[in-house]
Amino acid sequence: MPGWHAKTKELVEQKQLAVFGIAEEQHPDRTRLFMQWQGMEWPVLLDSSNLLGCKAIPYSLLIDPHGIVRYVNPKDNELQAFLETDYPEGDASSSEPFPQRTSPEGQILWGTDDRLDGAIAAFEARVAAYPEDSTAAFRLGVAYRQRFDSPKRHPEDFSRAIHAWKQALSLDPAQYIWRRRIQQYGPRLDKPYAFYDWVHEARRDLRARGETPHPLRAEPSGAEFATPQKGPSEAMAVGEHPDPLGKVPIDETKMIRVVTTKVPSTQKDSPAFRVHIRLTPDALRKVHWTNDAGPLHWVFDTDGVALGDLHVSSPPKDLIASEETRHIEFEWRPKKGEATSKAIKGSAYYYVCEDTDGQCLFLRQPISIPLNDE
Amino acid sequence: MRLPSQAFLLVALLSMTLAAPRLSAAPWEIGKAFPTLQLPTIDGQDGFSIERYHGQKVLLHLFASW
Repeated sequence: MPGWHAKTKELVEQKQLAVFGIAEEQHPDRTRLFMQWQGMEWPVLLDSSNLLGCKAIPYSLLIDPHGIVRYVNPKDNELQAFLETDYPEGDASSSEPFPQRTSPEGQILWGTDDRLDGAIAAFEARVAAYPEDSTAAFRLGVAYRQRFDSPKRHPEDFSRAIHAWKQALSLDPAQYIWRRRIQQYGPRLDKPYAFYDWVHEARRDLRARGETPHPLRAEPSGAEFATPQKGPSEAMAVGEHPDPLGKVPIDETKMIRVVTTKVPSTQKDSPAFRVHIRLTPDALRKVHWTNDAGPLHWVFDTDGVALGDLHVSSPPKDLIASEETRHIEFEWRPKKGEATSKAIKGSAYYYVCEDTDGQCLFLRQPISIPLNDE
Repeated sequence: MRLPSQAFLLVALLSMTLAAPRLSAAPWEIGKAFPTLQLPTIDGQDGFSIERYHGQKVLLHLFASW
């Protein structure tokens, strides 16, 4: 597409051609950052819930002055022919505007974060009444993930998005736009490419150009940056155990709230998946991380599985205390020929303080992720 | 004042079933009109449909940044 941009820039300036885009993407701000980085200024519309119904991208279409599609993925000589042809008035019948802004689809696109609740309720009802409606299931997932990335987040929204997308894809396995939405967060063996590895480069280039990179509402996570993996998992480096004597007390009162999400491979014969763990300090009790005491640690105690690509959030630089949500991410696959356990087990170790009574503690939270829950 | 949630759901479901056009595998075909889908811009602005470009020749990119 940047190639197309160079080719058509002059034609646009001479008003021989208008250019616009439609982004099949969950996060519009990432498209905006991409456009800024590439210096492309034509307007882009957002189709996060795939209202267009295309099953793959990218496509470039040449559309005549009456709205009729004349070429799909045109070659240079076809673009020339398109520009030189006078197209007669067609029978482009104008239809009802779709989607209506009050419809669940419209609420995903134009609604505020509050109105996502209505969209989610409507799509849940639709999926319950018509379990074969793959489109409704996909859009339900889009609405859940959108709420997850908003301040109105419910902790289980990400898991529900993945569940809905899995259901949609199982009904329509040839829908590659939907498949990519799962793969974006999923295991590396299942990834066709690293989805958002360009983000670092874009920000570096933009700063070097003296521009401020467009801010992102949801920072891409480990899986979204990870490069695809072709072979078996590499061994994970084992650091020093934070609790070799097993003396660290358990966080019984849940000063840190934990939510786990499993993202499966989209390949039928692959049991691999990626685990996302979110750890959030309890805001009501004003719990915060004590960064000067030490970082967050993660230790597995599961045998018979191959685990890889472990990412653990680092504390923010130069802050003695902070209360942000932290993430642990890793991948799981069964080891060949070994019986696997029913769950992945491990412990998060962290230093936290509670503002109300000033208690600062080094605590452990055991986390168990069941493997056969569906 | 609060509307009963069932009423909202019913309206929402009706608008879904009535408004959603049936789109085939590729929602466009050479020689046919491109769908007049209303979408917002990626910056959250009101947006437009293909009808905005009536009278102009258009190059449309369907893409994602990933």
